[in-house]
Amino acid sequence: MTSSKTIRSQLLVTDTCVVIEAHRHGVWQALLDQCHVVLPATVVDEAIQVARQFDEFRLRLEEEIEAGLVQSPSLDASSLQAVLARCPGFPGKIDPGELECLAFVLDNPDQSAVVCSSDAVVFRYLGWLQMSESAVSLEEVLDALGLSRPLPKRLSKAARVNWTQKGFTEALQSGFIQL
Amino acid sequence: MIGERLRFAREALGLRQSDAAERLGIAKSGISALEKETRQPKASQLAALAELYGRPVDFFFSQEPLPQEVVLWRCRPDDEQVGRRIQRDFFALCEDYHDLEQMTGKRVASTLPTDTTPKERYVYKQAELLASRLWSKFELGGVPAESLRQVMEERYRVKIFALSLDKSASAASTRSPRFGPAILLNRDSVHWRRNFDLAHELFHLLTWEVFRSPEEESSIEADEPEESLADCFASRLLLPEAPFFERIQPFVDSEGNLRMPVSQVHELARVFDVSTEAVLYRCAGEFKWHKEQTERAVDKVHSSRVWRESRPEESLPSRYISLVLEAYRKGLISYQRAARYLRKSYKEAQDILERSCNDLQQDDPITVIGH
Repeated sequence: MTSSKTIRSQLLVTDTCVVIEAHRHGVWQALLDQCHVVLPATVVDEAIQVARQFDEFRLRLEEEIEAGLVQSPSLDASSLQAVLARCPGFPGKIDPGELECLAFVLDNPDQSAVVCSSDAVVFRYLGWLQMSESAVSLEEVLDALGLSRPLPKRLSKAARVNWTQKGFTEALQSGFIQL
Repeated sequence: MIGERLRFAREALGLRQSDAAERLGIAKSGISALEKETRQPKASQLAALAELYGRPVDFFFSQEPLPQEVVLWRCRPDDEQVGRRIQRDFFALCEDYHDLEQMTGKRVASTLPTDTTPKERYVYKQAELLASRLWSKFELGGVPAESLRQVMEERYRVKIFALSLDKSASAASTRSPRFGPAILLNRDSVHWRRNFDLAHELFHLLTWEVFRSPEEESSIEADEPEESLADCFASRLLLPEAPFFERIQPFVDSEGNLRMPVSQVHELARVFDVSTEAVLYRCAGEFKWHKEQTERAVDKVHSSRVWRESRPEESLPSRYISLVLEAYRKGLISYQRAARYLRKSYKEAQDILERSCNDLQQDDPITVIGH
């Protein structure tokens, strides 16, 4: 189980769906208060666009970045290309925001950064890269912070474990990973 | 490489650098610098440009040659910018369909036949013959409009989409080396018109090699003789000889003249799911009516319109939707991408994606024990 201490000490690189779902479930502020949240610039743009569809919450990402509550790096496009080039045989398609999250984690191996996602394809990719320990679900983060609540299946620990394992197995079977 | 592809994508939409700069809220010199590669784009800039140009981000990293995108319009939209935007939307749908087929391992090359008759020998008789052969090969039965789309999509892997087109535009088609044959219909047309458009565009796909040359520009219209051949083909295909004659035989007099009441023209149009014009032009061809006779008949039928309800059209083919759900369920695409493939917002897609994922998570086999 991911501990509260671990989560608090890591950079939580969060993708668009998690930003939206954390707002919908009313836990965004708690994440900001207790974790080091990193939102790559593409995620910020995507989240602002998606949030326009919802009346029940208001996004304040720009103010939060301004106030230093959220770190928002802006990577070169070539870093996305570098992520894609790492697993040429990967069968799925990853979105730009998620790619920038992955690129940030790969570019900063010494910063103890983890990707908090709700997407199978991201977890699967981390499995291919043998980086399952760099993946975390929103459910695990909330559990570690003592904020457990019922969440959709795609935000669960079970989904994260299933898809990272599946990615790893797939990479082994395809010969991408050799033990 | 990225610069060249950025310029290609912008020009495909007929946008100037200043247009792109304005929509992105950056200086024109910024777009120019990215295209000349004197400055490297940030990831977020590239994502915004990809969104504006209607292309996936990985298009800009590709090492493949720039694609040749030729669309044949039945009637091109009056506004060139609108036309280019529709054309891009159509191609984006075809590319998404192709990607989904690849990802899910369901890619099967189209086996749609091609005609090789030389262009100079292409006359009405040839188009009629092609329609007859196809009618029997496709096993279209007594009312071809009922099953034509299904057969084209499921058996011959033609990608068929329906978008709301500009009022001035009708249907379009393309035959791409990458994703195969595809047709775009006007979602706002009445369904019997769409049926005819589908058959009309099918003619263009079958005879693509006959009438098109490789160096054609990206957006083209067929000339009048080719369009007439396509109409002749469509009318023959949707109103096939035996079932059509069976219906009109009671109205042919002893001298071989057709004397059919206007109400019967409407009835035939309803039965075959085509327009009254299609019925009359089919009769005109068969009974060798003069142009004036045909026009008089069309006017007469027009003046006695009867009420007929059109069926709405879904934008996306059911197989395409099924591939999106499969790709999402199998963890091949993200939630956001699945929503984008479905042309739904994040919020609209929620119910569809979560239900499909939960209901089929295990995808357990159905086991029948004994009899």
